[in-house]
Amino acid sequence: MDEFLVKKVSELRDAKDSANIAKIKDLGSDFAEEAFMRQDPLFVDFSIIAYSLAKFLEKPYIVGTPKWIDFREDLGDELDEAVAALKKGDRQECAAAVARIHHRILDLSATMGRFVSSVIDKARIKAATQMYAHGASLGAAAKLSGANKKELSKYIGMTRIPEKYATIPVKNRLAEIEKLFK
Amino acid sequence: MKIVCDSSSLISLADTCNIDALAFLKQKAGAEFVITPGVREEIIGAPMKIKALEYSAIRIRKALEESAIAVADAPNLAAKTSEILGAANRLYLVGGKPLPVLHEGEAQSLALLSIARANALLVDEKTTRLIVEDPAKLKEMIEGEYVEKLALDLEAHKKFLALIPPTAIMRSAEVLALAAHRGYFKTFGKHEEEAFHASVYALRAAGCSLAQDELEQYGEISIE
Repeated sequence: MDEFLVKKVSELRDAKDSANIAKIKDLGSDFAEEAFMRQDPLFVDFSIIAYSLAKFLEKPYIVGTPKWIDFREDLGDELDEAVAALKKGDRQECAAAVARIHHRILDLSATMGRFVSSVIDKARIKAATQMYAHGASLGAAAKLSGANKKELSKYIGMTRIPEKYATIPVKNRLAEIEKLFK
Repeated sequence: MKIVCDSSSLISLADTCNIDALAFLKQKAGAEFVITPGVREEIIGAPMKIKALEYSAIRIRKALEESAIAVADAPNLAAKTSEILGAANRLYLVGGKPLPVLHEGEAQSLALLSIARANALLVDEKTTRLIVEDPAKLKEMIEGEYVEKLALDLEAHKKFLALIPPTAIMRSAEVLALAAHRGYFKTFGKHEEEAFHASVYALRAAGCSLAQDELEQYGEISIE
């Protein structure tokens, strides 16, 4: 049994019940970080669930509708199934529950969302960005998260993440390269 | 002057309508820009199947068809890629376990450097650049993100560097600076320098790893 995963999924279940958006987002980050360290797609899938849930909870036009109430109830049942499967050591069953949750997220996103790209696509970008901030290359983050590399690149470009990675002063870098061009 | 191009830089250039800078530098400075088969698939093959990404892929494909960019392959590319990928992904350890920071695509570009006898790597994303230029900096910047201790294996880094030739790293911003100095933005007339400076900001927004301080340094560069 993966105790860390069971703990985190249980926390997600609890945070969903209390609609604790901050906690849910934190869990999204935790799952993404662990996904990168372990190279485990199941953690990516849970990160996507967490980020998607947070996204929905931020939308007043979604929360409170009958579709949302059904979704929230189904999500709770499926997360319980996922935890039960993990406690039995059955990753396959857990993955099946996760796949059903993703399907429900896509369905809710398609019928109630106002954006062309789905909530899951946006959640993949968030998960990938977290991995990038933890040292993953753009390619590594995109591959593991399933995020589109170009979209990820644009998203990162709008954050402060690039601030940290300056090395050689611009003039020195240009001078070095100009020498090669002569 | 031969430059291996990673997909990150080509994406930035295409998205800011500056992919023609490569053809420009080829004509003006005799630069050769090469990509791996993996990069070609990544920036042309795969995006061509997604409507929202197709136009960017078409622009890059045009650059390839007009020989501004060439695809380079070799029988030993796969083996060399695997070697470099393995070495790169043993540089950093979290709680004693290796952190797989690099993707096969980026490792393939690094592998092509010696095979193609290239002088430089054009890459916008930060990890590839830092593991070549300053792996300690990457460690410093990410270790705060981890609860467990992050370590950099310096012996592993020596082995990694031994697999690639001495290489200058350039980003799409440097491509535009080199092109600007040779007249790439002349079509903007009296706004030539303004166009250059604005294009660098556009590259940042497109994902080129540029710090604010570097943007300001670029703002001070005159292209006269």
